[in-house]
Amino acid sequence: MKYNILILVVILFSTFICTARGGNKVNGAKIALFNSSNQEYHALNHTNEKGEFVFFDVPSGYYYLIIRIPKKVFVENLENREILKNLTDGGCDKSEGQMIFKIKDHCFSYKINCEDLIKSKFTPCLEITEEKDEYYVSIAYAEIIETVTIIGVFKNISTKSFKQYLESGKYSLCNEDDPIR
Amino acid sequence: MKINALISTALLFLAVTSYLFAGNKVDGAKIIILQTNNQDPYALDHTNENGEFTFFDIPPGDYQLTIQIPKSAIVEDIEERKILKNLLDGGCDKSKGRMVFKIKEACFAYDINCEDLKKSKFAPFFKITEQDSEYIISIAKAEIAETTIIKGLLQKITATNYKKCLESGKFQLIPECD
Repeated sequence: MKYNILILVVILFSTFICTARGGNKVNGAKIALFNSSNQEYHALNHTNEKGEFVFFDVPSGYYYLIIRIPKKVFVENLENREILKNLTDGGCDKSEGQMIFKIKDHCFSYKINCEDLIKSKFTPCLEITEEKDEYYVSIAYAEIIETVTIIGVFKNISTKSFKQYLESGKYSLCNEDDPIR
Repeated sequence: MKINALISTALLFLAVTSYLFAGNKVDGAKIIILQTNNQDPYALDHTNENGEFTFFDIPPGDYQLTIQIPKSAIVEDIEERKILKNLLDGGCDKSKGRMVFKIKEACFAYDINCEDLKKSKFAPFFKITEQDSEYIISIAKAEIAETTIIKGLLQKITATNYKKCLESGKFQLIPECD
């Protein structure tokens, strides 16, 4: 009986953590691969309802991973602002291929299947540019050596999760020169 | 022995036919799914080395399927021109989800997984627009009813195969395809 209760508590706790850190789809956000050689989009798509995206058969070359987030996503939240005030703009956990960043009162996470992209190099480069209707977020510079499929998840995360990620010690400041691989 | 020879001949014939109809990748071709309401690209990709493309989880909505073919993919070929001279600009086989079309002396085939998209409606909408460095080809208007994966193939085909497609009787004139 005690054993069962323990399992139940563990399951409940795991569910709570997953829900807390699960995040939501960012409506209208566009995920793009920008070819740095010809300065054109190689691929562009939206996330699905779980925040997932896939770029099939990306050929060798140099790309920027970019997100375009419509401004209408950003609503004022004073409580979030208070928590975010003293936190850095973003960080990345290179071993997991995950980057988190904040824009105004909102926080986001972007994760790709780094472990499957062994022959490619991803150099994080977080740069947020404000445009007329959207924010243009540069995530990383990628050197793809062999044709690969890039699978990822882009989500809105809570301010608390953002804080927890940064405090975990796994996330270092972005704009580092050394590539993920 | 005779059966073996017959099978070998049949296999050889199939291989040759497949090779002839297989077509080639169109280098630098972009496949675009435009949102009808604002004409913004919902998704964009390039074909892979086999001419294939895939769009993952396209949500319900009204879209326009478009291709951008760089002008460099279209080179002059007098022999092809002779074959194509009196042929229509394009045709579509609705049952197979295939459209064939020609631009100058180059011919193309565009296939999508129509059989998997039963709850969606595709109305051929064929229009070729010439721009500075590329041709923009409107292929179809799509009404997607359920989130779906669109898989397809864009290939360059020979003028002879283009002629065969049109003569097969399976391809209708584009304006009649809606």
